[in-house]
Amino acid sequence: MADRARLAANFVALPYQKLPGSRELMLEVRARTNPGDVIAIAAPFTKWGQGYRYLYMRSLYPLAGRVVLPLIDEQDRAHGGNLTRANVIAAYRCEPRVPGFEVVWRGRDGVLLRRKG
Amino acid sequence: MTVHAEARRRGGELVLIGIGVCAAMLGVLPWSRWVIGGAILLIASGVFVALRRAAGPAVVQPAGRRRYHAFLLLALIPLLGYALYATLAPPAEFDYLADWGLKARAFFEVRGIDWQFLGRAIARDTHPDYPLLLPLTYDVIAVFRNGWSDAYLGIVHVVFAAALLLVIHESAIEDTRSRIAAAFIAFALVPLAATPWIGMAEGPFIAYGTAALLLIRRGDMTLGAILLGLAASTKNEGLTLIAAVAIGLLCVGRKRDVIRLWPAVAIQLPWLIVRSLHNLPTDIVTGSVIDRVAAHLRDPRPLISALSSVSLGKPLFWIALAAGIVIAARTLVARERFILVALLIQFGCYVGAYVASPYDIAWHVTYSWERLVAHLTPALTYVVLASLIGPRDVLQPATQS
Repeated sequence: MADRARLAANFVALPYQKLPGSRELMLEVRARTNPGDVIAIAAPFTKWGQGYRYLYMRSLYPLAGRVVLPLIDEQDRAHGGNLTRANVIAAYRCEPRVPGFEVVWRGRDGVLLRRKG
Repeated sequence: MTVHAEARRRGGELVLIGIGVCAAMLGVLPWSRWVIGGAILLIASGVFVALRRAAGPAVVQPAGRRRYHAFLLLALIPLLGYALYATLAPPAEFDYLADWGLKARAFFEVRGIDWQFLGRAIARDTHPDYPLLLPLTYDVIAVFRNGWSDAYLGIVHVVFAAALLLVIHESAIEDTRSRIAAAFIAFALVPLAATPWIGMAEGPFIAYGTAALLLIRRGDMTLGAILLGLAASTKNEGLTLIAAVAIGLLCVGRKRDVIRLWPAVAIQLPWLIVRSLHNLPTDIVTGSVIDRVAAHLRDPRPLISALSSVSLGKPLFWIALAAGIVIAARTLVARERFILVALLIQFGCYVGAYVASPYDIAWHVTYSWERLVAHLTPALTYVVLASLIGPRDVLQPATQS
């Protein structure tokens, strides 16, 4: 049974293994946000296919019920405008400084920013 | 035959249709366990009454019960192993997280089909146009649990596999006139019914599609057409399967049976209309399809190269299947033209989808070819085994309509 538990843990971690800590970060973000919150996903990637898609697509499931917005699209275009729609920013392994937002939680693999006021 | 015996004989079909009915209820009823539970009880009572009316004379129990039970037990062992695998952890497939499970969880958050969520899906991986039977099935479980939990959700796939094996077993009894042979065929098909892609729609689609093909093959048109409609409610590939079945029926002279496929269309039509009203895009037909098809046909080398480079695994299985086809070729051509034509057309549609693909061909083939082939192998393997094992004098149950 111990092996089964270990195997189960490996299975759960498998889809997130290329970005260690990303699952845990999104679970923390879920715990600290509410249904209906609009969350922008920030990450130290500039291309959709080179890390951003991996993180963004895997953030949707743990953050179900929230509106999850990307900051890069499939054509690698930046969508900074989504920051104006968001009231929360979940940042993986980076700490963006966005006017009007403040850090409300800091973890090992990222930070959570919330719009002031 | 008693109600119990009739229910046992139709057990696979009842489970498969029952899952479809439960999922459909979430499209029209409030997401409350009491409402959904009450509706299920009501429908189950109706089914019980219908089974009592349908109960016919008792079937003769063929000899060899001990060997039969031994084979059934053999089939149960890998199925139990599959249950252990499927429920080991929450589904971890990417397509579950980005599509099937994501939709289910997002819908449960708002206790309804979230059209806004589907409409704003910005990444192709979410496939907002995909039919909703599987996500809504997950939601039925969440409604009864009164909360979202993906632990043990894989049990859904075990139920689909078991239901398909029941259908296969009953079909094989009719085809081979031997309970032992039927149990053997069911045992042999366990690895094909029990798909490894937990959380994704392949297993449910294989269950609905294969069961539909087997029932329509033997002339059981109403149930077969309902299952075909549910296959199309599980994956878009089910739409082409409806067309493939119609062409297969025409090829064997069962023209009137093509009309009797109307339940399949009727089941799928509401979703197609709603999908169209909400402008949910289908990736394969976005942009200039004709230009893409022309380009891929002008230079088919990337497609051929991609298809030849992707391993389907199970080399011994493919060798055995090819040998079986060669040995049973005459019987297959004489008795199984309907299924062979339907599978061939469906296979052609899959290759056609690659030809029209808006994606990089190598990527598209790599991440889908094995699963698409898995859609077709259970029905093909079944008819090969039935042809090899079944008595030569047994004619195809439905030859002409």
